[in-house]
Amino acid sequence: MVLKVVRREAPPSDEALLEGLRAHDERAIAQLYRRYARYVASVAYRLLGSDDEVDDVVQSVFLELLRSADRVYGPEYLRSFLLRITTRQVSRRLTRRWRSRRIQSALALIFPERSDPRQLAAFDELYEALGRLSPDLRVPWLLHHVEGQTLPESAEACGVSLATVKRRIARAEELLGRLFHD
Amino acid sequence: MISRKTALLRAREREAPWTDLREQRVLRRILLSRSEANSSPKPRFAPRLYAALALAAAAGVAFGVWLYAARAMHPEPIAQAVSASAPMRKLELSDGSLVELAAGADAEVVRREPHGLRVLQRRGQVHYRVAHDPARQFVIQAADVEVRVRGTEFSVELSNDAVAVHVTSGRVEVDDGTRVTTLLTGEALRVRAYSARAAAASAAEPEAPAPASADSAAPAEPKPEHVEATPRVDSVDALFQEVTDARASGRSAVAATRLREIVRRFPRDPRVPSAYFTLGRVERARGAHAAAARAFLGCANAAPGGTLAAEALAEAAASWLSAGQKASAARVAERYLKAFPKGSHAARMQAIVE
Repeated sequence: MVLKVVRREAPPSDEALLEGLRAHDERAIAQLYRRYARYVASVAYRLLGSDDEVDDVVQSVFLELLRSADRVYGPEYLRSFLLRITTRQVSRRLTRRWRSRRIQSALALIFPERSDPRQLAAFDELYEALGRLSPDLRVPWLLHHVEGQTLPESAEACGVSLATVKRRIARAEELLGRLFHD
Repeated sequence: MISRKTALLRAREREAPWTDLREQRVLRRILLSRSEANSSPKPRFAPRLYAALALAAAAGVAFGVWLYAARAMHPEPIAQAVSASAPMRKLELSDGSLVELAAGADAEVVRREPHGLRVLQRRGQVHYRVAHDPARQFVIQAADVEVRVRGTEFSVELSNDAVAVHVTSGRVEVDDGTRVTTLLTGEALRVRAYSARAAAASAAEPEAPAPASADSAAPAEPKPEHVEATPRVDSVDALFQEVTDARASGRSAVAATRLREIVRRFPRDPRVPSAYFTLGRVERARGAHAAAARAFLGCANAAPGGTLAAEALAEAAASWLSAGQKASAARVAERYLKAFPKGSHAARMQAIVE
């Protein structure tokens, strides 16, 4: 029996992949995507509260990363950069949903109520309650309490000051407080 | 009502149903979008035109807001280098503040926002009469020293190694990177232009500071003329947290101070290269390019084989160039090319050497 030793190539570092991204190397793009797509998808899923637009968010996030790769100073900042873009993409979609729901509520005062087939089922009571918060309150609360981001990290991801993010999380907490019994 | 603990646990455990097939499908869409964006010309006709017309009113408002913001953020030189023989120049800023530059002085507005204005003073003596506005912070940065005011009259003199501040009227805060001192009418303060460690480095080879493995003694604290107690923080994690908080709230001088404290008090901590690198970025954002260059070199020296070494050397060379120190920039660029001949910044470093 002959034993064949196959020397596997070590996976490229994030730094090497970032350089490949900046050089528009398609292989590096695909490798970086595979390394982080699941992370971005999971964050988007938890922030959105549904699976409906996760693919769109992931696509938009990586396209934006391709456009802005030069702004990522180093591999150690890549994850927080991805979180920031993901937060922004999710916030846009939640804001659209929020506005559409408010318009519908306003119209319901004039027109007879109809069930909306596009209404998405919430994961559970928590997400149903979160769905009643504006995206400005919901997203930082989720980043801090579910994604485990510190307050400064949540502020950076949302693109607001620390004071603003504290205020928004406190307000969300106040509104959600009635939901919890502990 | 539900249990908060259970609700959060359930939320944290949620993972997107992300299969290989789905991953592949989205990747195809990304690569297709990318090649479409790179190759196809934009259509000229009707659908986009109608959409543009429909958005015209909103675009007009957005344009007005953008224009305001662009003007607010556009850097505006107060004055470039004034020759030694030129008389004192008086300039009025758009907020009514008055700035008087003595012969040989050089200062520039580097950031203008609705709630703040930052002036970078590069050398010489400048006299400021800042229009009173409690909602707006006027910041002068002279080397590693920040002078913060809300409406007062004072002068700042930057020489090779010292910054002297004299308050004619009002109240001024002086932050030299190690402590913040408040000066009132008639008070004066003279502090080191650069923090002690950086000052020692700048006096020697430009490629200082020495690698962290050397038994370098902690630099002496500058002798304070006004003392303000700052609570001592006893762990690297806590210091990094303070850095994060300070950067998030725009207090870059505090962030720089804490980063220097990390590298000074914990020279053997594995996060020292990262602290140096972050310090470089903070200093660069403050316009202190020489200090940024020294910090980036500190990163490269602390971990010559580390993941940040290549980037740190490239950033150091670029920062020396921004600071007007071409010889130092060329030396660092040569060091980069020797260590990373095929690195992604090789072409840029070669251009600096040439």
